[in-house]
Parts: sequence; structure tokens; C-alpha cells
Amino acid sequence: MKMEELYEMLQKSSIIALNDIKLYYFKPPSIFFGIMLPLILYFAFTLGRPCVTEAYRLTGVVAVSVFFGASTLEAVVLPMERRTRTFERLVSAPLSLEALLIGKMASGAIFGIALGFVMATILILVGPAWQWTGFSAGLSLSPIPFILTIIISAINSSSLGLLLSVRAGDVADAMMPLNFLRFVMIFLSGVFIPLEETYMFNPSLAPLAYLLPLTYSVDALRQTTFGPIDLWKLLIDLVILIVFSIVLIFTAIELVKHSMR
Amino acid sequence: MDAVQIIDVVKHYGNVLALDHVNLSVKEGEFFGLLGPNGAGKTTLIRILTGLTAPTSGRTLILGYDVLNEPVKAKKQFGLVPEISNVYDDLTAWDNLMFMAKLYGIPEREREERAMKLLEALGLRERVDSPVKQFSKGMRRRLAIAAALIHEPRILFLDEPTSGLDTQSSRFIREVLRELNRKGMTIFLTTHFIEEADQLCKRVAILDKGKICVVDTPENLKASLQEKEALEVIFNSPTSIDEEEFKKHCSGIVRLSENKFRFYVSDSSSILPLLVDFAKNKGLKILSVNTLKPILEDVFIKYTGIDPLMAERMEQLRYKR
Ligand SMILES: Nc1ncnc2c1ncn2[C@@H]1O[C@H](COP(=O)(O)OP(=O)(O)OP(=O)(O)O)[C@@H](O)[C@H]1O
Ligand SMILES: [Mg+2]
Repeated sequence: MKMEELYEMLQKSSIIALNDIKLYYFKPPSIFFGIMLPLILYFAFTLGRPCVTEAYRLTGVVAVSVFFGASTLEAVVLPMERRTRTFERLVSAPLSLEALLIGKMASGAIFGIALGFVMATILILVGPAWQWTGFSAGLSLSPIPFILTIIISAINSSSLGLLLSVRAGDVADAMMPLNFLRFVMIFLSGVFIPLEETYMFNPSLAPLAYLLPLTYSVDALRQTTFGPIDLWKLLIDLVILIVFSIVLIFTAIELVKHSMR
Repeated sequence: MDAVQIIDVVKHYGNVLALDHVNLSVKEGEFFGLLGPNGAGKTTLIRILTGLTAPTSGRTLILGYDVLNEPVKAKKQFGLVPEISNVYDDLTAWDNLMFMAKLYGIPEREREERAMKLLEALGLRERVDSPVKQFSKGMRRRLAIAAALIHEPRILFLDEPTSGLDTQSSRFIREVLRELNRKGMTIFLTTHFIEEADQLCKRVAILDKGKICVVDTPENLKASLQEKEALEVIFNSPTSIDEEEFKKHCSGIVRLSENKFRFYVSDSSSILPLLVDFAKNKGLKILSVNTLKPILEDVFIKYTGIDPLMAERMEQLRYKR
């Protein structure tokens, strides 16, 4: 691909993404599944399982917010645009399917990133400092790796949402498989319960955790906020998330192509 | 170069054969109509031409660009007004146009000038800043047309542009299309309103069950009919007619309603006495007899066969004239 073509593609993607931001960020399902649900989960786990550290739980909430926010937006945008047929308006416009879907993915990712930063600011940076969340943990933030982690995690979650929503006819159709996957991931990815405990009685299932992208997001987020950082481990987390995202996006593109046959 | 070229297009949806080896070309500047009953495959053909659906086999070219292989170039050449007006409900009319203009890469200054002109031309000037949610069906259709024109395409595809609209809106849209065509734009529309095709199109193709039956000017199509006249008869009460009885004098009888029939004849004077006898024998009264010159509808009937429901609807149409 030539430079200009790449530039044009990114430009078109950004037009699509900006339009989504304007239209869908404040839709009720975006707000409920993206913002409320992670908070509800946080309180549920706070009340139910006091045996992990507060730092552990709070990084879990931030990871879940990024994940829920980004994937939810896809599950709202794509089915709505299919139902109103505005998706077809975009398909018949002069931009490649790749540019179109990357734009769609980007609007979800930006939603996840925004939520992630807001949550992290409140729960990890400000909260503990004021002892407002009940603890003052030794924060050891590595800003650039932390920012990268949030961005890459959001892209990954949005790509997953994209893949699950791209054929759905309405929001409920897309939310169902997505919610199922979310709950599987929350319990099996070490979000609120450490992996060693999750698989304590069934160690043979432990590899399952490594098939779920959220495992890598959570691990990377913990390393970059409360430390300690193991550079290799962090790098592997991020690379795996990126590879996951690429596979998810290309599968989504193929699915759309297939649906046009 | 042809504006639109359809080469041996076949489309299967599972077991349904929606298009059966369609071949067609439309010249630049032409006003072309694709006429067919429900389920004929009109929408499918438009979707294939605009890259929304891939054909099972065959190719389509838009001003020489293959829709499958060079989709982006092909898509720059046309605007599409789909069957369902798919404008963004949550945006204003103005923002809808701005969004489309950006997607087509139109510079900012020009964007605004064009949008203003289009909204003016389509009678939406006062509603520039209203969210589309509040628009009537006719207004949405007009906005969809404006959105399809914002990049000044050379070809405009419209799928049933006036269906579901009242007479006044329909007439307005037809006038807009005529004007666009006069200025050189190629127009390709589908319709099941025969009148619309007759009034607007330079050439029409009749599509039935996925096959193109015939392509010609409306005038030639009408002239090609053997039956030069049709006779419409209304009796005072419901009855049925045995076609055998009239076989010698007419080539077909269509029952338009319980007591209303149409006879296709070459010479209406020869059949009138038979009709009077028929009525007398059955104890019926003839309420009215009308002779009709062939219209495009008759060509349509000849090629697609007739279905009583359809006939009734056409009936209402003819009534309006
Ligand atoms: N997405 C689809 N899946 C399966 N079958 C389809 C699909 N779209 C159209 N068809 C079938 O293809 C045939 C042609 O449909 P199409 O919508 O093109 O007809 P049409 O001429 O536009 O009809 P109408 O006047 O009702 O709009 C029909 O038999 C229809 O059932
Ligand atoms: Mg149709």
C-alpha cells in the first residue's frame, strides 16, 4: 500500500469514528454496560471476597471498564447501524471495508480508553492518595507503559466486540454472546480472583486463562500501576494483545465480506 | 463508454434464484427504468451494482470500473438512494450532508455551498437544523436524495424512489430527477409504478422472476403490442366469463374485480354485440364500457402475466389519471 492510500484510509476511518462518538457514546446501553456494570461488579466483589488486596481489586475494575466500555460500544453501534441500514450507507461510500471497520473499532477503543483513564484516575491515582478507597497502597506508576497498556487493551476489547457484533441484527443479539464471554473472562482471567486461586482445584484448566485476552490486560495493568514490572512479561502481554486484535479485526472483515455474498 | 454495464449476472440466495443471467447496459446521460413486480429482483440488482451484495457470478461495471475489483473507484462515480431512506435519525439534515461530504472527501467550503444548494433544491431549506427523527417519510426521502448527490456523482441509482409517498411528493421527486437528467446525469431507477417508468424513462427493462424480459423505449414497447385496444366492461353484479366464448374476437381477458373485466382486442366493434348477448343471457346489465389505448402497463402484463391483486392496484393508478 502506498503512503497516500494509507493516509486516506486513516482519514476515512477517523471520520467514521468521530461520527460514532457523536452518535453513540451517550446511548443508554453504552452507559449501562460500559460504565455501570463494571462498578456493580466492583462492589459485588468488594463485599463478597475480602481476601485479595485493594490494589488487586482496583486494577481489576479498571481493566474491566476498558474491556466492557470498548466492547459494549461495538455491540451498540454495529447492530443499530444494521437495523437503520446506515451501515449500508457507509458500505456504498467510497472507502474500503478495512477503513470502515477500523473506524468502527476505533470508536469503541476510544470509549474504552476514556473510561479506563477516568476509572484509573479516580480509583488508582486519586483514591488511594486520599485514602478514600480505604487503603494507601504503594503506587508505582510507570506512565508510558501504563498508557500503552490501556490503549492496547482497549483496541483488543473493541476488536472482540466488533467481531461478535458485526453480523448481529439488533443490540440484544450482540450483547448476548458478549455478556457470556465477559462473565467467563471475569471469572477465569484473574480479574478479581488471582489465577492461582481460580484454578486451585482444577490446575489442568489453567491454560484456559491464557486463551483469554483479558488475562494479559489485567496482568499488564497490574505491572504498570502497582508494580513490580517484569519488562519481558509486560512486552509479551502487549504483543499477545496486539496479535489477538489483528486476528479479530481480520476475521470481522471476512465475516462482513461473507455476509455480502 | 457505458455508464452501467451488467454482464451475465446471476444471484442465488440459497435456493432462491434472484437474478438469472442478467445482461444490460445503460448509456451515459440516459434515464433508465427497471420495471418489475414484487420479488422480481430489482433491489437485488441495484445492490449488486452498488457493491452492497456480491453476485454469485457475472460482473458489473460502473463507468468502466469493476464494482468487485475496484470498489472504491466505482463507488465515487455514483450516488445511491435506497428503498429505505437510511439517513441518520439522530443527526440534523445539515449534519447528515456534512458527514457524507466528508466521507467523499469534499473540501469544507465546497461542502457547505453544495449542501445549501441541495437542501434548497429539495425543499428542505427551512429544516436544515431539525433532527431527522422529526422528518416525515417524504422529507427523509428527499434528504436521502440530497445525500446521494452531495459528491456530484455522474450516475444516480434509486430504488423505488416514490413508493410510499403521496402524489405531491412523488411528483416533486420526479421533477427533480428529470432536471438532474436534463443536466446530464445518468439515472437508473427501479419502480413498480408503470406510469412512472412511462413518464420518466427513455428506456425501460422489464424484469420478472430474475430475468430481463425486454428492454426498449416505452413507445416501442407499446407499439409492439398486437392488441391495439383494450375494452373495459363493468357489469352490475359479479359474474364469471368463459374465455372460450370470446376466443375468436379477443386475445385475452383479465378479471379486474368481481364485476369488472378487461378484454384485449384488435377491433372493439366486433366484440361489442357478443358482450351485449352475454349480458342478456346472464341477466346482467352493462354499467359501462370503456376503450383504452395500449399503455406500458399492457406490455408489462404481456411479459409478466397478471395477478389479480396487481391488476387491482394498477386499476387504482389508472383511475387517478
Ligand atoms: N437477503 C436475502 N436473503 C434471501 N433471499 C433474498 C434476500 N434478498 C432478496 N431475496 C429474494 O430475492 C428475490 C428478489 O428480491 P428483491 O428484493 O430483489 O425483489 P424486488 O424486485 O426488489 O421486490 P420489491 O418490489 O418487493 O422490492 C426474492 O425472491 C427475495 O425473496
Ligand atoms: Mg425492492
